[in-house]
Amino acid sequence: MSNLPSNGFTKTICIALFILVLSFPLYGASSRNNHRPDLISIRLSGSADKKQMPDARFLHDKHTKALEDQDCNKCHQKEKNTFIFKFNRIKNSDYNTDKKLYHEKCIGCHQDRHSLGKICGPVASECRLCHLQTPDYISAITPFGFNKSLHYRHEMAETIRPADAGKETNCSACHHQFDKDLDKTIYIKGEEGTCRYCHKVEKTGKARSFQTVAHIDCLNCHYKINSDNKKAGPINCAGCHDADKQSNIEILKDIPRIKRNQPDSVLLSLWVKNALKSGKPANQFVKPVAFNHKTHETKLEHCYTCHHESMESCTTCHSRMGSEKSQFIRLGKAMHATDSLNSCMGCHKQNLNDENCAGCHWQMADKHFAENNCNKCHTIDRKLLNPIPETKDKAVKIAKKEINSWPYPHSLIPQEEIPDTVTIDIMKDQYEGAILPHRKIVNALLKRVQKSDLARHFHDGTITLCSGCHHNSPSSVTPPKCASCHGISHASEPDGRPGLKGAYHSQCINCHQQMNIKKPVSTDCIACHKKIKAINNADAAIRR
Amino acid sequence: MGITRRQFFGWMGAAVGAQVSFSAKAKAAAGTEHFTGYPGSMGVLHDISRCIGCRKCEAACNKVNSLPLPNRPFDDLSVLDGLRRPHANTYTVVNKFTSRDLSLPVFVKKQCNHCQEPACVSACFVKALTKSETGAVVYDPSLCVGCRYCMVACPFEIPAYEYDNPFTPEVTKCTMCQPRIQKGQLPGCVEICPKEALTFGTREELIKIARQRMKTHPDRYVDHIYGEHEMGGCNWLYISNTPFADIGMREDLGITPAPALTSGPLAAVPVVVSLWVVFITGMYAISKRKDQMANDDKQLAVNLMLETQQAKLNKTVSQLKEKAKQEKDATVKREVKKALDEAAKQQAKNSSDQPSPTDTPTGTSDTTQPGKQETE
Repeated sequence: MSNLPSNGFTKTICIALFILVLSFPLYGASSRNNHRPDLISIRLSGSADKKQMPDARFLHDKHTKALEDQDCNKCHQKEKNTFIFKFNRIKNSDYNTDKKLYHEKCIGCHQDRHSLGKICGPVASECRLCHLQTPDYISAITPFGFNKSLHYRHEMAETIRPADAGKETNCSACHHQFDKDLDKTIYIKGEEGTCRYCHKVEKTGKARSFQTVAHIDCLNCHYKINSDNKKAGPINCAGCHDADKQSNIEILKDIPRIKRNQPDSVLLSLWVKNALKSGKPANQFVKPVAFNHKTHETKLEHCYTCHHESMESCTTCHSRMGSEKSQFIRLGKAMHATDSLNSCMGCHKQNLNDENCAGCHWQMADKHFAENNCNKCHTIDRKLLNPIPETKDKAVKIAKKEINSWPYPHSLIPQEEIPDTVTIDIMKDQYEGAILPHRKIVNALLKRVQKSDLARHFHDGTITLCSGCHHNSPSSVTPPKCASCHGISHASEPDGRPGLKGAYHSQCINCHQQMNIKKPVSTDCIACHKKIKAINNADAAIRR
Repeated sequence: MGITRRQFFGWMGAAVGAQVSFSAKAKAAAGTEHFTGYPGSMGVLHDISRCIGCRKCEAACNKVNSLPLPNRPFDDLSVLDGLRRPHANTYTVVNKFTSRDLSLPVFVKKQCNHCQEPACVSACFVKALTKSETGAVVYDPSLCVGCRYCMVACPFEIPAYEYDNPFTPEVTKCTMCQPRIQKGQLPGCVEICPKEALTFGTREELIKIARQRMKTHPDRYVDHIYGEHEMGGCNWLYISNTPFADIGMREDLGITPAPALTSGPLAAVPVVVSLWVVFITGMYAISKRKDQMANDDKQLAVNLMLETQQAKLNKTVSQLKEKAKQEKDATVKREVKKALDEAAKQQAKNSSDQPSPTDTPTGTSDTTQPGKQETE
């Protein structure tokens, strides 16, 4: 009888273990192992109104791996020497024919392999192994996009050389445009653009969808080169759509500019030009901008970041008052909208999150549009446009001259005029004063600014950098003391301005955190100021 | 006949009215109406995005409240690796939250939120907990009976209990440094905070500061001031760069103050208690009146029956009397006739034998009449 309780206990343990064992497969199912970049859910067209089994789930790379000795033609048919990536057909047929095709071909192949004693998929009567009610895999298809490095690698590839007629380049291998009169695609040198201009998400007119194009054109080319035993791009799903594989793709540095006859500099002067044409006084309109197209090319991965799908100039669609094609986004907004990465200011603002910039800029308030300094970009004298340059080249020349006239490096304050150290001991209590390596900090900031053309342009030498810490007062070599505005109390002002202690700690700690400076750690008090030894008395005072 | 139904309801109504007008005078925090806070009451704004997790506030809290020192010192930041909550000797704790989405860990200070309409105050039936006009929820150990209802009531799980104190255990929680506030000082934690992650001020002012910060850096803050409306509003407010649900702060509390949820049923309690006598008397009167009325009806019925029976009896008697009279007359007539016949016969005979005709008829009539009446 005395064994009874322990028996009960053993039973409980057994049940618990049993449940634990049962739940292991569930753990497995929820891990990342079931995330697949090659998961295809097979749903036939015209199946929407039919009572049917759940979609069949198909793992493409699992099949290509199993059929390693086989060709794409085991499952895909060719049209004009090009594989069409539909299963064993060129075009979709009606629902019942396609359904029959899938069942016959899939199960037929599985059965053949089964009779040969090879690993095979489900055979007839094992319907639910393909048609799953609850999916056992999760699609982890990472969208793939071209970048400059990959473009250059294709441009340079020896294998892609049915090159342009009489030229060294191979752009025509991929780039083309539709000629309405000839009713076919042709290649015109210097007018290359992104595929997305015609090949939209869905099929439009004669242009196939982007997805279809990307798979048929890319993969066929890769396949052909690969079958010649030459180095080619991926031909399986994971090669392009797996996140890990994507990050392993080799990225080249120092890529030369894409050759499309694009200008080095652009004169942005629509408003003034229009004013001059109509005889209005030009000084009422904002000054033109000299845009350095060349440096912007090096900073961005894609032309379409600014140009959207077409490679035309901004003013083609973004007119002064907006047009239907630009969804009535005016030129002004297209250039200045801070919430869009397609606009100048939106993209520049995004750059402020960089760790070289965020130290100072993170602590600054978002500016209203009117608070911005227009004269940093709108620099060109209006007189230079009178008379209006007749040719594009002349306009480009004006812009180029302006860009070259920008003074780099900006005026620097001589080192000896920058205080070497600053001792902050105005409010000693528990800790000694902190010694701030002032000059070292200024030089570190200067160095970081020089890293970026954008930063160099917007910071007028050392004096602008001073404003990073010595904020809200005009830039000066002798800025007011912190305590001039921040009171020596522990509380903030009713207007939200922090007290002196809060101001010091926030300024230092936030900057270090944002600039990713690991040392000193924000909670390591004695790294900046030593502890006062007689602290125990102070403690006692607080206790009282 | 006691009180009428109309009178009873009249008294009842008067009594309820008196109760309501009486309690209206005592309307305040934890009352039955929405209380929008004492004007100018103080609070603290915790800007979670500013906190660096140095635990200075914990140390300061320990000092100003003269609490026993913890086993691990306050500069041991590895304490932050575990999730903590305030307990008997710790009025405030800082918790660290890390996730893959966050580049830097987020630190959240936890202490009494000093609700505008505190659940603990409404749960306390001895008024040991009260909402002070400074904004602090203060505790008076001399009144506390140790029921710990406040601990159950608090939606933020703040009040703690000195379980290790066998004789005079107290409920403990952040006092918002009420004694210091009254002296014009800052709460200990606010004063020590190096990053000004804690800001002390009137609640109205703090809400304005919070909004200003959100406006200055709209992409840096979650557009919500935690504590502005939660549980009817708190005097301790929070703004954050991380969704509150991700940093252990309940978002399911709603904006109804806890007392409002219980005030309906609880408000009926004093009414029931004071009207008990009136109610019972009324019930007694009603039941008594009912008895009385039933009795009356019964009496009436009996009387009615008696009357009808009497009438019936009288009628029968009179009928019988009539009948008897008729019979008597008939008998008299018959007897007279008989006597006359006999007298005639006798006369006829006597006319032959000398009979006396005068004595006989009177003698018979005297003797027969009473005899007949009695038998009938």
